[in-house]
Amino acid sequence: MEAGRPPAAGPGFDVEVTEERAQVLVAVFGELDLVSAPVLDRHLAGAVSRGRPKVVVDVSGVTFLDVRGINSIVAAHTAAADVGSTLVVRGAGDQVHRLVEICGLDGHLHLES
Amino acid sequence: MTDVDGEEVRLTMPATPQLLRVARLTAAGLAGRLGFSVDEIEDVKIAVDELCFALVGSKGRPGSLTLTYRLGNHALIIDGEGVFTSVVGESPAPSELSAQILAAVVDEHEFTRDGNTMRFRLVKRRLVA
Repeated sequence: MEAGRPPAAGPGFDVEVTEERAQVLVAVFGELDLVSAPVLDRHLAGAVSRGRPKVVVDVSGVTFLDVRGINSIVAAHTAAADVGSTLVVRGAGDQVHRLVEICGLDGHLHLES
Repeated sequence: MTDVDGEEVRLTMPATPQLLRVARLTAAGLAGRLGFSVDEIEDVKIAVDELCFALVGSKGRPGSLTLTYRLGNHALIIDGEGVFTSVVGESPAPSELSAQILAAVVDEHEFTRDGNTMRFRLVKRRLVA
């Protein structure tokens, strides 16, 4: 297993990427908003490009999520599907579930508890 | 919670996305002071984030953003005003999705534009059993 912690994205936000045989795990920490979403975009694009069957985005460490953050995940979900991979969102709390539902994405994103 | 009735907090900051976090944190602190539930506080944070984003856009704007938080009887009212020297790029208004989210998380919201000055108001009332 390879593990990597990229440079900190700024105050209140961090991402850890762990590459395994069958999946890439992207763990997100802190506030996922307008400022941090572009950083996550880059990490998710990198994770999808590894060509693993599954990309897991662990959002259990996310303390705030807005539409820009949701858009990041949706874009990666689409990119993963385009290359035959599956993107799964793990550890979504009530706030994430609610926002996903309001945005009408509950039938679109794969949410795991 | 009547002791906080009429309290007002005002923030003025550069209209930059990096400072929206301050707007959210202030909203959360004041909503907590009003006795809002955790879910209600999250709603206020999402709403102020959406409306501030509509004002400053993804790259910020030249000028300032002033937020006035008023604590009322079981309600938090947030007025935002962006005064810019110019407005270029993204249209400064909530997107259709933002409007959908705002309708779901707050009791009232509005956004108006007068030239290079833009204003919003949101009202979130505490659920009283």
